[in-house]
Amino acid sequence: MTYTRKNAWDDNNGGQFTNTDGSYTDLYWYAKGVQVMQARPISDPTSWWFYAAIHGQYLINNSGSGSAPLEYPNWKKVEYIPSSANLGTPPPPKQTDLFWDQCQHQSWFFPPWHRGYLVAFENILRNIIVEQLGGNSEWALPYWNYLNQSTTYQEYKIPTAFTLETLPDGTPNPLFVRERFGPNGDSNVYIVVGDQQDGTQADDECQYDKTYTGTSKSGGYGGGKTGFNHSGNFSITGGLEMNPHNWVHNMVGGLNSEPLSYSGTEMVVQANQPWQTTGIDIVKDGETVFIGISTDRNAPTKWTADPQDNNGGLYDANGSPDIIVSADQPLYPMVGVPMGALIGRVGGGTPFLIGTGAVVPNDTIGLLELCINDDLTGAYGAGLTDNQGAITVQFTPTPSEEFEGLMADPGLAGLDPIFFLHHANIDRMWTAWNVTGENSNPTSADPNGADWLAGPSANGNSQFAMPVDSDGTPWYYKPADVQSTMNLKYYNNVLYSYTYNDLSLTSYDKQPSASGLAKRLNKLRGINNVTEATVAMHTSNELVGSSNNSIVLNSGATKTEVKIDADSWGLVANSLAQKSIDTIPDEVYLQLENVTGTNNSNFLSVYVNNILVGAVSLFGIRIASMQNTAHGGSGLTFKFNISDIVDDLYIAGNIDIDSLNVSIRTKKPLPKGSIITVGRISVYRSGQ
Amino acid sequence: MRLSRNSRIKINTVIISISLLTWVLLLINPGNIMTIEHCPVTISGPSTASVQMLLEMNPLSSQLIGWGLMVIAMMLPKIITPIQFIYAQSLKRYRFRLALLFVLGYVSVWMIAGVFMIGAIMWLSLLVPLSNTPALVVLAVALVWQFSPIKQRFLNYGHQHRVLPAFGWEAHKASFSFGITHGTWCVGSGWAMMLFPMLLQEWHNVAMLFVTFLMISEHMEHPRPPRWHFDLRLKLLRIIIAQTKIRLMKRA
Ligand SMILES: [Cu+2]
Repeated sequence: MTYTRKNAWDDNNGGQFTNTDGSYTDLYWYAKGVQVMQARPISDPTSWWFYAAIHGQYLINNSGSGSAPLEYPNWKKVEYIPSSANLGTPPPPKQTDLFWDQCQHQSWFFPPWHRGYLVAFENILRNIIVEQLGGNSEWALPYWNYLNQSTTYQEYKIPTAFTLETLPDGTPNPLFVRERFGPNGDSNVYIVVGDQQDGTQADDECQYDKTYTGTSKSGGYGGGKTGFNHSGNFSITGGLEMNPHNWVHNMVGGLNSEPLSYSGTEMVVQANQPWQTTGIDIVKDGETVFIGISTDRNAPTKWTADPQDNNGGLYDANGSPDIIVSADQPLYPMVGVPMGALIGRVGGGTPFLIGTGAVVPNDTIGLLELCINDDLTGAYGAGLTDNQGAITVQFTPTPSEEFEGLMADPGLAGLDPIFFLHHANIDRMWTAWNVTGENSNPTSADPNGADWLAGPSANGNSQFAMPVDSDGTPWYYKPADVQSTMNLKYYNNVLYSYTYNDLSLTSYDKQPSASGLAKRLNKLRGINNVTEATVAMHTSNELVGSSNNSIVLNSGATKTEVKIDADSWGLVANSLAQKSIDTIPDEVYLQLENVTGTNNSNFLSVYVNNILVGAVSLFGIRIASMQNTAHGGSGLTFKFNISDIVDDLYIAGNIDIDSLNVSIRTKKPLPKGSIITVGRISVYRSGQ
Repeated sequence: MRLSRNSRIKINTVIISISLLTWVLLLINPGNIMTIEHCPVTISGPSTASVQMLLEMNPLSSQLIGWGLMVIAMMLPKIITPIQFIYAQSLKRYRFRLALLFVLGYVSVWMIAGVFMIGAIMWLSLLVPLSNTPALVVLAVALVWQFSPIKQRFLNYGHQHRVLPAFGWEAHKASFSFGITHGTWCVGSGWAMMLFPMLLQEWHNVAMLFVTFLMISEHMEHPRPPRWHFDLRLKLLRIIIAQTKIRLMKRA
């Protein structure tokens, strides 16, 4: 028997509990099964709470998640967990040591571990559905394909069944979770698909990757090799895990925004007008307000305070790239900051710099006003008359406490029933990558393949284990057992098969991005005849530049200068000057090292010399920053390929640089008291 | 960014070779630097005369050299990970220097600890000369320490690899102080285990090898919350067994 996992929207009457003929959908049986599991106490290995803790938990101190915090996200403070879960009586240490806190992230074990987790979970649920509830004997876990471009349903939205408070039988719907705040923190849960200015859209470009495990440079599809050490600097996240997996966790979980009247309001600030009112009254020591730039692609976000400047080009809210208002022009609202930057003031008081994002100081009261930093009265020349463009800003209240949705944190995520539909989709993508994309998982012929097939125990770590019954009988498995969804080796060596009714390689991205190297060589040589280029065999990685200190991020943008080391940079310049096929130019990477904090649900967009180089999700940052965990508190490390920007510098004849301007922008304001620290920003070259 | 495979292999080879050479030196035990020499005066119990005699037969300097060699032989393999980390994070022309500064800081902490430990050994060997009782007492202490939350705390600290500044004086200072802090956590977790083989009258070398294995092994374990764990932390053994199995299966 091969079970078929089906689409939660298309095959469930548009994400509902009942079909048009009145019969129940897979989602209904899912909800009923979840109800049964949730009625069991946490000490039962087949309970909902035990199964969620297998992924991660904040209840007991354990190696995987360290010492549980006392306040939220401690499970005892999570409203979704009813008292019947009996959190006060956890299972014996023998069971928690074996089963809890296993989730494999930032690792090449991410796909196989989660596959086994879902298989064990699906079998427990099917038993309940068939034997206790008399439901569909062929039931299989539905998947939520948020990237599906269906015109019938808006599938980027969470299936309707997850938003209803009751089931058709009138009982409370266990699929409804209050701690699920969505991308805007207003409990409207959907996945942001389609290009965003800050690069934070979910997509499935990873499906075009051809290698499972990456090198020291990129994670590949499934992730970099995980050896005995699993701290931030040694682990490499794979493409599938990063986007869409991490992205979706963050967007679904989100951070609860306090409902203020102006929440989500947009306003267009004109370049040719002086102070413009926002209509927002700032109360002393009251709520804080965050001003950011609209991420709506159609909204105007460029202006200029002087068309002669910047070769006539408009610039963004950071203002002129080359003109700083000098102190002898006191009639500008602010001196010592760029001309044309977005600025604000409260109650007509001292102006403050906003740029592409800032928290409004609330030590004074009055009306919040915004304008461009320019010669407002025309005291030195044309004043506002020659200005062009406008900037669209968004106001968001800064949450006064950290309150993230369950899905945003690996230590909570397994509690939310949408988790398993999200992971079914990730598993579906992996299957499609193997079957439709004809890509291979690591094999014993690969250099490290045997270590992947044998699982973590090949490097002295615990093997994967899932409880299959209420006694806690373990099914031990290794990646080799779950390589394929057909004839997968389940508990007691029983073969288990399932598939998906949709194995399209991609749902959203229909075209692979052009071959990197050929494109690069053509660009560097100013010709168009290199079509095929061999994969670069880079043998050496070395540091070529670095920020001086650690950087504490602000809400909105934080700018730093990354100093470039002249000697090592010379090698990069040389390799670019050669630009032939046999001497392949260096690749250049920017790395954010040891990023620590607690704000899992945020995104960081990273800009080099004002050009976007990529965005990352902070999913998992809380656990990775805790000291007594497998990560050792070193946080997360992110890597961005910036070769393209370096190529442009070279082509423009500006390759001799002594620094790069890096700007890191948080997508959401940081909650009050929440700190994100970047240990170091570094630049590396990878080449001969 | 991770070091290339070649650089990693190079670092491993150099460090393990130095450690092995030192082991050979220790096993040969030239000039008996590794053992306490006794004579009729020194086994007659503690007195001014016996202390003087003992120090004359076993000068502190040669004791310290012996100790230093022991630290190098036993501890170098344990600091491969931080050294790789320093290499990966540093400008190429600084790499070797910074690693050396790290080792210097690390070894100096063990040398300072050595002064106290040698003192203790000499004192014990006057108090109860030629006896295995002190070794057994230390073994008992070492076992309690082994399973304690404090030891786990030290081991966890040992996994902290802080980000190092890249340039100039700052970079050098940071590597040296990284060595000192890393050394401190190492001494904190391993002092009792190091003392034990030194107090043994016989089987000294075997005990030392065994302790080395344990120490490398426990540093490879992931950090965990500090509490009582009755576990020898034999990760290295587990890796060796698993990798042998994989190799054998490949051949079969
Ligand atoms: Cu997940």
